[in-house]
Amino acid sequence: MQEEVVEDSEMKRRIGLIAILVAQVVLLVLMLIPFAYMLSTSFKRNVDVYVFPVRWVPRPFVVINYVIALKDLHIFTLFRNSMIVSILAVSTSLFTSSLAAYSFARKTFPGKTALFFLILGSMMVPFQAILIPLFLIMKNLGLYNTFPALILPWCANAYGIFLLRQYITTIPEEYDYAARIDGCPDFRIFTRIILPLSKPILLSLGVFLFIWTWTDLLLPLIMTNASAISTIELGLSQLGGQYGGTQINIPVAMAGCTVAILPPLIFFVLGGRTLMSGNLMQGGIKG
Amino acid sequence: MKRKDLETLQGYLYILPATAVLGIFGILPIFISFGLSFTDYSVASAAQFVALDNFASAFKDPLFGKSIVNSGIFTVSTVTVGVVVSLFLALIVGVKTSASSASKAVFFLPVMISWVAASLVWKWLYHPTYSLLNYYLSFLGVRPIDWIGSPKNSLGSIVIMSIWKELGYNMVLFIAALDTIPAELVEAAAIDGAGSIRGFFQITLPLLRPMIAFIVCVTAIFGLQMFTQSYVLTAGGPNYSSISVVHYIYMSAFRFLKFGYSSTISLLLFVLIMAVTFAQLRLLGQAK
Repeated sequence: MQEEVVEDSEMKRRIGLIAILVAQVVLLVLMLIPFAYMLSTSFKRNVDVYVFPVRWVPRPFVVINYVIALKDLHIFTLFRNSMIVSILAVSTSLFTSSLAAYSFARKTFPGKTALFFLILGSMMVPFQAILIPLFLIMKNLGLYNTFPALILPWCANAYGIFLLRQYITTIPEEYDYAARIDGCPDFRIFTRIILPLSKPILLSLGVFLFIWTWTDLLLPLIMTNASAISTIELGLSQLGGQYGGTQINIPVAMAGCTVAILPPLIFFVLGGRTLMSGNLMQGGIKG
Repeated sequence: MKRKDLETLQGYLYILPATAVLGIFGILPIFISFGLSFTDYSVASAAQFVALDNFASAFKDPLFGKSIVNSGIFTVSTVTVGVVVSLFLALIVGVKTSASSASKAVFFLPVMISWVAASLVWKWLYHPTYSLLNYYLSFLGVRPIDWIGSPKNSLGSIVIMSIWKELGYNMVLFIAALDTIPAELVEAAAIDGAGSIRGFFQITLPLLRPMIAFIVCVTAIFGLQMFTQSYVLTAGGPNYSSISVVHYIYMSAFRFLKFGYSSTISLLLFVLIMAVTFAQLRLLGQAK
């Protein structure tokens, strides 16, 4: 009798697991449909795009949309511009934020707490509130429609300063003292000790900053005008068009989308993997 | 130089680059925006102080009202549906099976792509005549829906797409929160006779309250700031049926060229966001 009862609940558990597995797979597929459709459409000829029932694997399978995206949409230039903006913004931001975070974590100076809270407070204001003044400032600085206008606002990041400061306070000060006793100049302590020990957090922050700058629409939208320095997101947004009026070339738009989503995805996958393999608290004391 | 003075100097020097950038491009604009909202600054005329005129106009402005209603509906919908569905997903995906790791990754995928790319793909999915969604829905006997062309549907279409995009993020947060709930608690409840559903509502859910509060607040804050979907997916239309507040801010400034008025609306939005956040924290915090 006992065995039957155990087998019964074991059966129930197995059925429950299978049901959940099925649910997971179904949801997985549903979630992927937009992506699959985007990819599939990008490899179809324009005429084939409107054929129903939908052919998921395009026949004929063409790459012409990517070619058109490269030539007519100047995808390469847009891509290059986004790369310039994102890489410069992220590297500068990581440097200024970590330097400031080091100061807030390790140094004492009058007004430190007040300044720190002021920086924190600036995080709470939504970007839209400073849209217009930012535009006016850039225009008056003569930077409208230039790369600095797209990069400068990102060159320091309150979120980053906060995050890094919290992290640096967990790095034991003994490392600093040991280096100082050895005669190491202060800035070197920053570059040779603090920064290397902060690699994991700098990496995650870098990945997020890259994604934020790459996918940003508003700043490029207001800072440029029919411009050679348009970013890829801005270029993409102009593919929207109206279905009623101008005919947008759908498969080309999908090809553009595919190209646009790749860098953040790749960075995330790479960054995630390094995060997983590295340890968050690597020992730093020699011997 | 004395040690202490040197340290002070270093302190200021190190924060200088970041503070300079944040000061000029982060904090200064806040003050300018505040000041601008009391003027009628437009491209045509130099700024003239008009005190509270802009605020009065805003309250009488039907477009502003529409945008607030739209953003409000959008926020409430994405928060409620989003939280419930992502919790449900977290419960399902949290169970270890051969597909659970893949599921977690796939659900997070939409979070990684930009709102612009997502809007374009969904615009294609929402095509007036060749919508893939309508095609599949037709098998269920549902008549073709005009997703973006109909003023009644445009906002809803934005909501659906936004929920799809943000599910993975909230799901990951819930999975982390669920992990902190000791399995013994749920098992103990089961031994005491509580079925798994009752166990969920009486044990798991109350323990999830802090995370739910966090997700509700943050999703609401970002919901009220929605822009890209309104701009790219529906262009705010048709007939401004789906325009968001931030889209209206952008439009006032860069289409109607009314910088002063636009700043006023930004200020009002900021106040609204603060009020809503405060109210939510109060409601959810006191309930703890």
